[in-house]
Amino acid sequence: MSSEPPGCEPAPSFTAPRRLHVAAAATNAVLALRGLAFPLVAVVFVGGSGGGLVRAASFAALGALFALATGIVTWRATSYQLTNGALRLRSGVFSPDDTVVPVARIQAVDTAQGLVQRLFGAVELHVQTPGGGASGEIVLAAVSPVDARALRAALGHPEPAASAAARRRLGGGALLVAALTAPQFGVVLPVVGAAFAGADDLFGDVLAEDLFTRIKDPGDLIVIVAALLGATFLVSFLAAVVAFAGFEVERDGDRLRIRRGLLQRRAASVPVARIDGVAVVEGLLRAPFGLAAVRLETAGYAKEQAAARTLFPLVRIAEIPALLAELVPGLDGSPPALERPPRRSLRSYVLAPALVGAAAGAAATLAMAPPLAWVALSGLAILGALHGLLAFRAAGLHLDADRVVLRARRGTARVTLLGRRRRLQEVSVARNPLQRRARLATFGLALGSGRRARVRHLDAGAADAAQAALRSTAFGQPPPAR
Amino acid sequence: METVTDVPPAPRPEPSRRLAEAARGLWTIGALGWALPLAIGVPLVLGGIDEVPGALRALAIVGAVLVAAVGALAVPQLRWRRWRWDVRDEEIDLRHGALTEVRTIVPMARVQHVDVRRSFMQQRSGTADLVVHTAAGQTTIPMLPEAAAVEVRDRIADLARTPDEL
Repeated sequence: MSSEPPGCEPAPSFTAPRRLHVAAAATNAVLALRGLAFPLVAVVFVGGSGGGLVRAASFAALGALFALATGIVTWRATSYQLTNGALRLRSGVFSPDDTVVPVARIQAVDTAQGLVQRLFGAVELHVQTPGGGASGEIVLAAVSPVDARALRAALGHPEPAASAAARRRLGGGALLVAALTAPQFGVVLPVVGAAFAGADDLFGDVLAEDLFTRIKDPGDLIVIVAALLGATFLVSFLAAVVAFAGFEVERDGDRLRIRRGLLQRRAASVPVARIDGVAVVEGLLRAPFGLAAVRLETAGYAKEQAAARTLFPLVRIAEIPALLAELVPGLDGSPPALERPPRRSLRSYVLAPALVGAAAGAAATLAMAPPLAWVALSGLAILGALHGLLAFRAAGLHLDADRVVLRARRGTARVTLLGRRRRLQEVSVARNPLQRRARLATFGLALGSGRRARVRHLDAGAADAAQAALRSTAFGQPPPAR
Repeated sequence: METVTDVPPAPRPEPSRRLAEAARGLWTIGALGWALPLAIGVPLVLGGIDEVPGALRALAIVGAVLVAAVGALAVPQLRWRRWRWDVRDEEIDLRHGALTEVRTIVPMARVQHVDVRRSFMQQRSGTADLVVHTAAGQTTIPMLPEAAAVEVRDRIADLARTPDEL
């Protein structure tokens, strides 16, 4: 197929268009197969009962063949090259896309190795730019190790030498705890719910009707909820193990190097100067044990999933200052005394969620029999009030010489954002009519990573003073000379 | 250690410039797009359903008409009256909000680029939106007189040339 067998030349120059490693054909085929899987299953199961096993097998074979052909064709249509100081990727069969990234704009070259790449001994290269996210950056699905080393050197991001620098690892026990307390309920629950809905579609209305007639019994409702929670927990547990197994982070001069992943090994590097802030996330299941996760706020990874933005998946809260001093100097420092919302704001914090809870409970009473309904009504109202109380206790704000520290409750977690002042993009103070009456205000900020955060119901004077302090000394630098 | 309240109150200029007068009319027309269907649709639909008790029906109809009237007639006027903005050498300063008053400050050194946008209706009335982009997203000063929008755009473009270390 290819006239130039990959991996055999000693030092490719990349000035001529170059194909990816053949493994890319396999990854493309896997992607195509994944796209085909659902229609195939639908055709086999729904398209009538005639034929049975033979029919299903022939459809599967046809699908696999088609996916393989797609993989090879897209592989042959994809090429990359280095021209005029820019990395250029050309891909697509019918309407070729041309992506060009100037070498000077490249922030990091990360690697990932999935099962397919490991099988072929290739690596996947992610070219990260500060714009970041799904577009803009280039992903080379498979490159031979020799090419990868040469390309990284040519792009000015050579493969890191095995350094002797102190490395922080997530041990096996810590991984287990991290996975057990994985804070992904909010993300996973809808997925599990959708899976249940899908099962409902497959097994027809019988199950649904059955469920609805039986749901009147509180015991069965509890069983269903428990099953849902159990499934959620399992998915969340496995997802965390896959994402964070073998997690290591080290600081190599002015860069952080992070490696992680069970099935797909990823190696990412982040320039320390590009880190806008860190967020300490104390999740519902972790806070009671004094544990937290630490997230990175950096422009290049702003739009990527949470795992890609993790500085460390699980750490004792007491150890965080040491961790930050070692990895992100400039953001470390003693935990500050926060400016807290005044006592009079407690009402603002508690009343709204309690009313929302009561309203949700009232809606629930329409669907339930009386004893259960009253439990739901009062239970949800109390839950709402509790949420408000916790939000009140979490809230706080503090300004340092070059940090801004903002603590608030987000969902079920308490999140402390430590942001660099010189990376603040916007500072706002908002007052709604109720806050105006109580002399309260909401302080908000936006970091260069795109992260927006706010503390509600601070004393209005304190919020205004914080905004004024940030605008005068700045945002970290003197006003431009004119 | 410096705490928030210890910071001496810096001189705080307030923003003073207003939006184009035409904003009141354009916002009203825009709001009518949802307010009219609401004010007409709810009575029509509820009027045809006899199962809903009369009192509840009347309440819903009055509520819908009230929301539509306030949303289309009062809110645009109030919003226009509250909007203030200023572009200074060191910052963009906005204060706005019909109910919730929001004061936003964007430091000039963070501005990446500026757009002037004109919808079809805005072209007819000689107004334009000024969109300021930073690394965190965009901030809009809506409904400026077109000349002011262009002037401010050029001014911000000059000021924002002072490079920010990224």
